[in-house]
Amino acid sequence: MSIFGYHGVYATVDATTGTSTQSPITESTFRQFPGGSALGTHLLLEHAAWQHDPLSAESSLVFAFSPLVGSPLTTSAKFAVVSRSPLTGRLNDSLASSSFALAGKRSGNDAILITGKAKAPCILVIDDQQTSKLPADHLWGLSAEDAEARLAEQFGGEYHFAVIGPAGEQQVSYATISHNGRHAGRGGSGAVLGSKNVKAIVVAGNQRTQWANTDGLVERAKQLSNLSFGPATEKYRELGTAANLLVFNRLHCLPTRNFQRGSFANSEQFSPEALGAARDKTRSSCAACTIGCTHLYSTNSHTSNRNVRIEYENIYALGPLCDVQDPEVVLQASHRCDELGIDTISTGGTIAFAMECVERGFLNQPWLRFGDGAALLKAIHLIGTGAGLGKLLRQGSRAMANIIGHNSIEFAPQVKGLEIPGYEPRALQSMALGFAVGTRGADHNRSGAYEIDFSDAADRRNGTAAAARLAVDTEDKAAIMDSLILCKFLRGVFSDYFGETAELLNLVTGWNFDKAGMQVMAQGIINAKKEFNIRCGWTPAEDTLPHRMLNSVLRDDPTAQLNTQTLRTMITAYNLKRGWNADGYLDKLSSK
Amino acid sequence: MFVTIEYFGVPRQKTGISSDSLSFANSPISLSDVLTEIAARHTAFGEQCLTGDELSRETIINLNGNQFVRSLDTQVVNGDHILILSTDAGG
Repeated sequence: MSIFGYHGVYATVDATTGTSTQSPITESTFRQFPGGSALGTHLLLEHAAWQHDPLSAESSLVFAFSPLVGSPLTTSAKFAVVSRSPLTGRLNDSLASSSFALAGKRSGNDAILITGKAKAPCILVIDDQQTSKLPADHLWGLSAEDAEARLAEQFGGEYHFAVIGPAGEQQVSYATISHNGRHAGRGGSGAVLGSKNVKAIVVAGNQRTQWANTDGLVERAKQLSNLSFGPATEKYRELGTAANLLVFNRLHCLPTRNFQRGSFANSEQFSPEALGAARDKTRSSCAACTIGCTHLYSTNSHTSNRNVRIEYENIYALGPLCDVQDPEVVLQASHRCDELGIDTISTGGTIAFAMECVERGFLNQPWLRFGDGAALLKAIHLIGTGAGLGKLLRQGSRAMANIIGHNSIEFAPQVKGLEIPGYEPRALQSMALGFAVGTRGADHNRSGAYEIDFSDAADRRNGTAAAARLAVDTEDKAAIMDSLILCKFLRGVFSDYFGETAELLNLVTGWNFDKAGMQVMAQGIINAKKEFNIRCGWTPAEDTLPHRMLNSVLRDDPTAQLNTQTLRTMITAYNLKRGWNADGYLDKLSSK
Repeated sequence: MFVTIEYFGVPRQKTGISSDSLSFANSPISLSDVLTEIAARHTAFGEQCLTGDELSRETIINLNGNQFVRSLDTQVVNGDHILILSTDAGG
């Protein structure tokens, strides 16, 4: 059966045998779970993936494409990697943009589910619906970037690669999957692939899907491209996400010294303006993107002449959070994270937590001090080798706290085990809610509740039930973006978000979704994610923030206070708005 | 009266300055009065800052590091700091 925008099948690839099978996906399923995070979550539920340890042979990891992949719509060359997270034990969906998405879909599959475990390091090749397993001994131990270069020599230009670095091979809990310098970064999907002894997924093919209204789609794509050159995306294009730094610092929203403060003395030196003045700077774009948000800066590193991609989150986690004042160190640390294939937010969060443990005398590693750039680089090195303290650091801050004791969990900067991005929850209390209820943990990509805080709709330091209800809408928008899939940096160009995304989906598929239909779809996607977590053992007690954030004021902004009662009020309002009970349980789970 | 303007992100890039102090004869005044003065000084930014009688979607304004405001009728008094930011916090 042919469905516009889809192949109508997904491949299940067994890493144990190197064989694959194809299974159909119905149109009815696509209408509920159109692609990306939604489709990946659905397939994990179908495969009862909640039952398995994420690092076991039985676990499943889904690469999910979408109906918009391969279309002329800007920023649509994206895919999602969805699995149970080794870091959180809950659902993890990471997204990235690259030609891997285009080639993966041309392999003739709407999704590729990896299961099993190879006896030795391998590459899995999915090419025009044919699957093979090849040895990867020559790649094992290489950085993702170097491995990709070797694979390009081995396979040629028509093939594209999703690769793990050494951290993924060693199952570091926050290892990434990388391709073309972009990472499916959060939650440790790289460790899941590494646990299966899979160094790389290689995709190619010539299977193309049809579009229901090609002329309309091309016309709309031109309009969107033009809008993507306009003021709504100017910040990303001209300055990159690092532009957030000075704003957050001014508003005491920039987590510093493991969330002990909300501002950072040396922030000006980390601004894109200062970085650009002091260094060579280049810009690049993801595949099929007209925004071009990627800003890369030169370093003085003796080991690499490559410019380093810098995002706000890299700077925040490896700079202010660890109180490291030197931009050169932060650039080198960021580059080292890329080489190892580890998530920069979890890396910085875990090291900052360890620094505070040392400061309090809970950890006997006197070299690991806030503000010490050499210590930061050494800690990252140890995460890569697993030697000494690295054995602890590679487990993430929650697991570390449980081992260290001394109630250090109270200041471990995580929710559900996922380290908190660079948004101080006490100063941005709608975002505090978004972090607390996020299905993959503290997450700025699945909830855009900070938009409420940065508006006149709420008082950012005074969380309310009304703000919580508004936050639902930002989560719904993210669910749609992550499932169609489009880049969130495009969201500002839409004036009628749900209506316009419905139009894009309809042009590709021939369906007749409207604004209300997209909102129902979003709720269904969020429900599916919640169901997965409930089946994993989620309880309402997980929807919270670290004790520090609920029991102490922000030192440099005493008006920024959050307490348990306020957070509970917001969570209850959020749950009820979602149509769940007050504790956050669904009325019933789907029959599995 | 004096009002301090702090520019961040694209507004800083377009105006070429990080902050400015503006003097007004009357007090209090409205946010509209302040933005009109800014637009007169920085044409390129002014064109983007306002859409007709409204603040453009791409511009975010915060008063004294506290409340975000969109109404051009917002009252501004002596000593206020007006923060002008790029749209979208995400990244």
